[in-house]
Amino acid sequence: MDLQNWQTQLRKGLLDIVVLNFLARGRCHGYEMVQELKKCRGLSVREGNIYPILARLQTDGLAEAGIEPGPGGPPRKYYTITERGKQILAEMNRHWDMIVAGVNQVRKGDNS
Amino acid sequence: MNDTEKRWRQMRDEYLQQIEAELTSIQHPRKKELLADIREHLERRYEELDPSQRTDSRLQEILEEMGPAEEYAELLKQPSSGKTELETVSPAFRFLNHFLTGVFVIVLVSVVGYKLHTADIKPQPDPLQDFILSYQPDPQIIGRWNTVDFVETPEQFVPDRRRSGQEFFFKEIEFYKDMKTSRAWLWSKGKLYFPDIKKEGEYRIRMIDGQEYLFLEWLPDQNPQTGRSPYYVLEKENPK
Repeated sequence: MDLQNWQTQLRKGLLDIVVLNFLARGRCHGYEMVQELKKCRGLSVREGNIYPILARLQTDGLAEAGIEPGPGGPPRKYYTITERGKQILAEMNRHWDMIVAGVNQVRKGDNS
Repeated sequence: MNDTEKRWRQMRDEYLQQIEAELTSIQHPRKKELLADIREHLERRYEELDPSQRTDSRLQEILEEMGPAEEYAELLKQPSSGKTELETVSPAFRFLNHFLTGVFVIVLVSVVGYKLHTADIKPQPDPLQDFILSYQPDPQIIGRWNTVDFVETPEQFVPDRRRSGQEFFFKEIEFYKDMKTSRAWLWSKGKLYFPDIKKEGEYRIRMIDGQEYLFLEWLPDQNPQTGRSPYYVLEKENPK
């Protein structure tokens, strides 16, 4: 088994839920989000990964972008989660909790 | 622009071109926006580096930290939906389902195609957002400029024969760092956006006899037949 490939696919598959959870904390700029997520070591987020996810979430109606004046520079784009995004995220989080619980159950041998 | 900045721009543009090439394999309405976001991110990374840290190897590291170009297209694509319920039913039912789906798709494509053909349905572009997302800095434009002449073309302007002292309809303008101006217009290098008419005009800065002049395309007086606009000529006010 190619462990590195498995890790990469898992990381990419989790980006949607990670980004939506981040947006649920409040509106933010893409750049700030990248800097914060980089600090979460376990996620191993690459800096460029966030932008295609944000573009896709906007197209799906789960996130919205706006523009506000930049401090002494050009205007900056910020992102917010939509109502539909919050609903989908609640489902995703529920499902994620189930997966984690299920994996842990198997790991502990308590799957009776 | 110094050598380091030139080198960085070259590296950055090559990286963006690689991503653009990868994105050609997929259809997505936000490809242009995605490239603008990545470009802006890279610019901020560069600006935040201390000039002493702007070595080739550090700049290369910044691009590597962004991830490989092919990942963007992969992440922009919709995730696959996995096994559907249909795959668990009988082959006969599956055939019937495929057949009906096929008929439905043909009808849908015909109706939508006809609507598109007759009603010219297109996604609405947002020129203001496009203008903001394509922002390019221009330190030369920042400051206050006063009108000294009004000409048909920039080439017509002769400093000695300018109409200084004459009352101009458009007298002055100040350009700020945040893309704004003292008017309701926005600027980006070489361009001026007029939100009221949703159009872009151009500006040029030329050095004539040791003096900087700004040539500003005046769209409100555009000739509808030729599509050409006259230019206001402005001189930069020295900061007090």
